Amino acid sequence: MKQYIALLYKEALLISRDRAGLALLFVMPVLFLLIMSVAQDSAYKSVTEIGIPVLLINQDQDSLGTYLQQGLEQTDFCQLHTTLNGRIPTIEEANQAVTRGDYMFGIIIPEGASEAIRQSVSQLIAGTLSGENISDEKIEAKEISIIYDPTTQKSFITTISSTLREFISQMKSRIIFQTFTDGVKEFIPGVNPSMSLEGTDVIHFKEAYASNSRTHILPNSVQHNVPAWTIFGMFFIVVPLAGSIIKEKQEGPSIRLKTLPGPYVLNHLAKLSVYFMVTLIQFVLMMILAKLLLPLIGLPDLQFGNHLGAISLMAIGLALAATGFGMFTGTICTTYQQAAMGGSLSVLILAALGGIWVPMHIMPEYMKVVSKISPLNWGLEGFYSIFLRGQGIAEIKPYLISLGAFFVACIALTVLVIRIKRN
Amino acid sequence: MMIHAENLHKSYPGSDTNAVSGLNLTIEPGEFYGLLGPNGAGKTTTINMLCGIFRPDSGAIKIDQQSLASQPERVKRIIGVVPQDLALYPTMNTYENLRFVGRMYNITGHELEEKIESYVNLLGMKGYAHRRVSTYSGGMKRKVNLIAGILHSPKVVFLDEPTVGIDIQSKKLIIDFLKDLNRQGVTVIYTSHNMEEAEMLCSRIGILNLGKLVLEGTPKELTALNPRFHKLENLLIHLADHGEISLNA
Repeated sequence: MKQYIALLYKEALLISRDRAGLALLFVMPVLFLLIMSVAQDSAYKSVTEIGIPVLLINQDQDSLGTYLQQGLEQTDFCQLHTTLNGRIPTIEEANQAVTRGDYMFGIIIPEGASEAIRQSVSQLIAGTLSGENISDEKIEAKEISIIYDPTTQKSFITTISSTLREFISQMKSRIIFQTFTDGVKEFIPGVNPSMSLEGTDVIHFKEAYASNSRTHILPNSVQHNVPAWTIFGMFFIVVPLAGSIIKEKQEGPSIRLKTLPGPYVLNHLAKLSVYFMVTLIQFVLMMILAKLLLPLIGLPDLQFGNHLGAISLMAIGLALAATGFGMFTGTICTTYQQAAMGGSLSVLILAALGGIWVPMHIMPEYMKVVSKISPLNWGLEGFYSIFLRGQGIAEIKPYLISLGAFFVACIALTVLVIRIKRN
Repeated sequence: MMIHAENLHKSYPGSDTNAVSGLNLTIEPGEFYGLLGPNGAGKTTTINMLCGIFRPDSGAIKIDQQSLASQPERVKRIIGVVPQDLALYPTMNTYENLRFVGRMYNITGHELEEKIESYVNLLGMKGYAHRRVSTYSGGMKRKVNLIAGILHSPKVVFLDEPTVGIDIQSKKLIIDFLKDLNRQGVTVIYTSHNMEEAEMLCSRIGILNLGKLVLEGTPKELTALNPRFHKLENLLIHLADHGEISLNA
């Protein structure tokens, strides 16, 4: 035990003097967190808070155009503009503004669109009630144009198109209903239908983010980036840890360690313990910093959910996985350059796969499957479960088991490599 | 006997020849034994096997009647190792390095501090001991490396070229220190390329070539083998040139 304490103290001294390693562990993830949270904040806000910038050219100036304008003004998802430089723009001007990226998309309601719907419905009612076929009288079709910023994602275009089609269909239904009511009055004098379309609307949609908790936490850049970059920073322990193992081998102390009393593996155990504690300190500091600092720079407040035990277990699982991976990297590499390059590259690749850099939801299906191999993804999914879904230990158990198994596999391989090298 | 090695063999992966081949060695308590030979003779490999850094491919080693293979922990406590590479942590100072080594031998508290202080003073390190090892000259690093190997008062000390690449003053200090250590009864096994130094220090010398012990004796016995070898240096040059020692030449 005394030897283990001596080794722990030695490791703590060494890491406290490794300024580059400490900067890598504590400064780099904070910088990533701040930059990525601020950079992605507007992307999240465009959907949830400030809305997507939309340009509407209402050439119709009648029921359809008015309904659509009112509807878009009332929704949360868009920030509606109807003028450019204080006047209604031409189609060409609207096209240029959307191409420049000033608006995510533009909608052009042509002149006479409402009237065309009315005429077509009137024709239909008249024909139905009189029993005459009057469909030969052609009504000029009108075209509602939607123009998109070329950088807009295809999936986003599909979503917006569907929403607008649904919106326009509702407006058409209102016009049809109104025209039909007027038609009935005209064809059957004395009948005064007092029907209301709203009365038929018996199916309602209630949309909410699924959550076990009573608190309603919206996904935002902070809820994604804080766990993401904390996990990334924790896994970057691989570089200083592997570097420390290599330095010991290259600079000579490993020879002394092999001749000192106690098993050589005790030195690795002490190293593992100290770096494990460092990753936990890193986690706690990142959480405190995110909670206190991010609101000061105008970012949303970090919500932890309601399960402190689950958060602690996830942090321990991640710290074990990260330090285990560092031990393995340090053991298989033979030079510091190999450890630094190999360690950082492997973490970057696992981070990219795991949804740290690019959120999982915009990845193609096969990438979502591939991402499951990354321990960083297990950590991120675990924190999503706790922070966003309000889940607890039972729900994050699969991620904890995966992280634990990853740690055990890394340590088993480390011991195997040490034995092979020693023999 | 203090050290008994029997039929040691060691080869490295990727090498066709054995680094050490059928080596037998017996060293008595209190001897100052020099292990000499040209580059690649197997000196460092032999030292590394004797102190447990490498496992021999075959053969047996006993230190103070205890088998290194079956009782490595007991052996570790009675041997001290001063490797050729500086086995120190460069970002720690002398005190921190030595305290770490002492604690690993379960030496703690007042006893540890006294031992460190006495060796630091003896080797003239007092003024520098609070500075990080990375800022030291080669001689200063060698001194700390030496103290780390003998801090726990071992019965046997293995020194692999302890005076290589250092100034004359530091070399003299280290040599005097080693002589004194041997006078106190500590068995010393030592390798060096400096033949004058070996001739002066060693009570017995073993000459290795291509992993085999080709000659063994006191410095006087070895230099008396042939008038041409009146200096050990000549013997080693002959060995390096011819690959063997012909006493009739």
